[in-house]
Amino acid sequence: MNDLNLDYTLFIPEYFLAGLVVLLVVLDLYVTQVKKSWLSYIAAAGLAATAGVSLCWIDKQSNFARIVAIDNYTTYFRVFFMATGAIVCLASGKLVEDKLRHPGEFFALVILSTIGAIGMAASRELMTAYLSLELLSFSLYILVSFEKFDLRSNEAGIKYLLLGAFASAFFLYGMSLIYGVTGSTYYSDISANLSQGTDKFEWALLMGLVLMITGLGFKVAAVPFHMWTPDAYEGAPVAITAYLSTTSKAAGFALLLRLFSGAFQVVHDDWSWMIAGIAAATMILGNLVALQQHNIKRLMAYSSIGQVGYMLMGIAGLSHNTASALVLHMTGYMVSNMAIFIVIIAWYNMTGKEEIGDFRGMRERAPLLAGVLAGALFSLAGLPLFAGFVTKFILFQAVTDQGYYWLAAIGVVTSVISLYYYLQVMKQAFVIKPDEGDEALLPVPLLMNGMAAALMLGVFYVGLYPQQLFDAIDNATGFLFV
Amino acid sequence: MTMLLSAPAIDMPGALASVLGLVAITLVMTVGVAYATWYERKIIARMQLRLGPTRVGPFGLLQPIADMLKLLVKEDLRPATADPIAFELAVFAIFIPSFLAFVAVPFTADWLISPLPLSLLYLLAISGLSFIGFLMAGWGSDNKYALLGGMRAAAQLISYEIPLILAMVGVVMVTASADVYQIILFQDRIPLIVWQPLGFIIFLTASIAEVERPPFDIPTGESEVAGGVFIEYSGIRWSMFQLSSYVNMYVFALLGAFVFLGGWEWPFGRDIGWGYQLLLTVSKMALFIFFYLWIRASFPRMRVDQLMSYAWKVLIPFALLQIFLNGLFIVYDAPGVVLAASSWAAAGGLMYLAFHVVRRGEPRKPLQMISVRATAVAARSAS
Amino acid sequence: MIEQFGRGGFLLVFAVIFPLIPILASVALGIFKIRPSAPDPIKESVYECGMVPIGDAHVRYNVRYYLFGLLFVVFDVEAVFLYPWAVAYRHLGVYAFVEAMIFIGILAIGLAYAWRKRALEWI
Repeated sequence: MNDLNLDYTLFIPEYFLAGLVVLLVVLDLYVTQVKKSWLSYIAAAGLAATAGVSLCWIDKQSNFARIVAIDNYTTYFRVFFMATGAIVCLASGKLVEDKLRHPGEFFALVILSTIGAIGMAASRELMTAYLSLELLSFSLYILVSFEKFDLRSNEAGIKYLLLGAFASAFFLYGMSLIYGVTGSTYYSDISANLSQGTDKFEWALLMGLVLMITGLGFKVAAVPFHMWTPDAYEGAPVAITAYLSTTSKAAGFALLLRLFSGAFQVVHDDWSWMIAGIAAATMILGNLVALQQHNIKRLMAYSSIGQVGYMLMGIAGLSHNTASALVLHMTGYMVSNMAIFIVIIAWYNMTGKEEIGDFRGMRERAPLLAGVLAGALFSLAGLPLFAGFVTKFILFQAVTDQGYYWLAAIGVVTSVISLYYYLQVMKQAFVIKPDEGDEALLPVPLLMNGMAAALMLGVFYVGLYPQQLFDAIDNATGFLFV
Repeated sequence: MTMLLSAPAIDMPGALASVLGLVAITLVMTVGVAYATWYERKIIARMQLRLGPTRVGPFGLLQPIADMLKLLVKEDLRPATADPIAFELAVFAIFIPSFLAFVAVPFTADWLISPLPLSLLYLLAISGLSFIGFLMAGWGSDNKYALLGGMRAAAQLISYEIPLILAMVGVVMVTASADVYQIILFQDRIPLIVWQPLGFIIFLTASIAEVERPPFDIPTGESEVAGGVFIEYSGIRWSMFQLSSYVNMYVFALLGAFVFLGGWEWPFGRDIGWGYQLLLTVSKMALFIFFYLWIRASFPRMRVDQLMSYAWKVLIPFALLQIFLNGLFIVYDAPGVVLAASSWAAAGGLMYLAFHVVRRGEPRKPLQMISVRATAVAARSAS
Repeated sequence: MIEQFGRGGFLLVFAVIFPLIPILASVALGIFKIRPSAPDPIKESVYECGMVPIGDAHVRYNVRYYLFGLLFVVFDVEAVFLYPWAVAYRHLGVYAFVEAMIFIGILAIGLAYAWRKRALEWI
């Protein structure tokens, strides 16, 4: 064990983020001259700058004592998570100022959870992965219940905390069983140990896999472990709902990819059927239950569950191609989802309402937002021209290459179903007229309009010119399978 | 006399010797604690220009025995609504940890019950356990004052536990050992109070709070919470609470004597025989105890908010400062003088801060001397 | 090691017996009618300034006790982590110093945070 590489410079982006956390808290506490609304800009700027710094590690492959790998995969997810965090910080500035208070803690927690998410993507060792997972989860528990005097937020926080703790316990127990079978917590050692194992059926291995999939299934909200999702999404402050539905899920999948490709690819047959079943159930149930929702946050919760189902297909038929397709789909989903949530946040800031019925007349009152909403919803449903079509197409193709025709078929059918409830939202926004006396144009802040438009451009970029992005992702996921 | 004092350590088969040592410690502690009440009353009385107990025996020396008999035959009451298990067991929960601390106390170089390699940590840990007993007594008594006192006792004990432990971290950094025995050996030429005065002041303050002596006796204050957790205890159980409080005082006095004043090692070295060693230990311990009594006679009780904020806002930052200074000067191999000087300067800062805080607020009026005789004369002429 | 525990256990027995003897003696004195025992409802009620006590004492108490409890746990664990570091400190060098100072610094920021948020006020 003398050849451990203890190169602390590998964590410079994380140091920056930790310093940013301290800076935000201290600014909020002690420097009263700083206007509270600046904190969101500082947080976003810091995240963006750190994302730029982390680009220095492109095409460099290294690891820290074998527990954390710094390669293009990590770099991709560093940029991904920091971009998501920056968008959420920017979008939530006014929300935090008006509704939530404690801005220092809010942005600090968002950044802390970003560090946790990066750790999940980067770790090549179970304990490190678990600790990163907990860092992400603990920050999110607080953020979900951040609206201290709102009963729903409290309810959401306690539900998320309890179920999340259970999920962590499952994951931990699964880890201990895997450790018992293979004698190591390093992914590479687990893989090596499993590949030279006998043909004898290992109950402990199976149980370990079941428990780990259960734990991670909770975290990414896969059916049947999705019960917390609608409540947590509905109760959480809307910016945190956006954050939950992107970073939390993406981090879960980043960990799943790293773990299953690095450690369990050799026993692919032992777990792929489980993931395939979960994926099918998730797609069907998420999209069907979404049909009955009235609250936009609950609707987005079920829609995100449906999207998780698509992404799980990629895990079920895990290969280099599906991994790339999965990450591409996740990126497209992130951009579209963020665009929708920017619209929701802007609308909520101005009207204080979050039912789907309250979106009526958006076309008259905030035309740009309405346009972005339509485009992003089409993208989620998977219509051509938008990001969703290309990413889903590549994903389904990669999955069928692995032989999962039935999964791809379910995916296509449920995509069609999902179009129905997305159109329900658009019907309110475009067809229904606003109430009497409420027709005036709403003063949408320039920042919100700009972000919505920029994200819409992102949706089109992924939808029309995905080649560049796909190449980058393909390069990144290649490091998982060496 | 010299023969007795310079006699070699007990030279018997190990088991018997240790059993005898235990019995001796127990007896000595019992008598010592019983007489702690006597000399507390005597000393406080002298400081207040009184005589203290004089009636029972010569100089009132038999007073503790009379007290004990009185407490034994006193009527034993327990509230009907009290939780009997918590109520009865609280006595033990408070007493046992304070007594168990003696496991790791090296009275002389050869006479200690059990040589523990982490005895300092053990002492701090076990003396911090008694707050459970206070909580049990407070909850079990079904009395609002007792509950208040118990909660306050717990809050105070845990709050002052932290500066105490952190001050000891500074000591451990200097001596590079968490064994009280090794710490004593370290002080063969200069006691640690010279190196770590800031740590010493923090320890002294926190130890008074830990044994809940005045001016930190808020959890048992008569005027605030009507006696706190002791309110529903009478007779022999009440005396057990008092006993354990005195035992705690002994433990902290011994700890201070060993860790900061050099125990039996300083200033004569360890070759002077166990009798002198014991004498040194006891006299240093007596210094501490005298200081505790003196403090009680001199200071009014603090307010509970002052108490808590003093622990968290003054003592803990200064304890962290002590750790930082030690770390800085030890890691760069600065001469010991620098280490000591930095600690003295920081201790001066702490003293100034305390003084400043006390003096803040309204400027004090000079005391107005009232002549008793003049008042009396005026009163007579008026009538 | 066993012997050390044995001695500690011996003292534990002593520590249990020590309060037990006087308490049992007191009970025995009660049995032999040397100690008075005349319970009545007033004596057996709890003391509340001489008034009839109102309600139960098992009430909800202030949340700040929990705040201090949480802070205590944080700093106590910090101190426990610092002990091994302090014992081995002379062999570790500048690196350990810097690392421990980062550790203490994070907790000091926590303390400053609690201070500023008025969690340390006993109002």
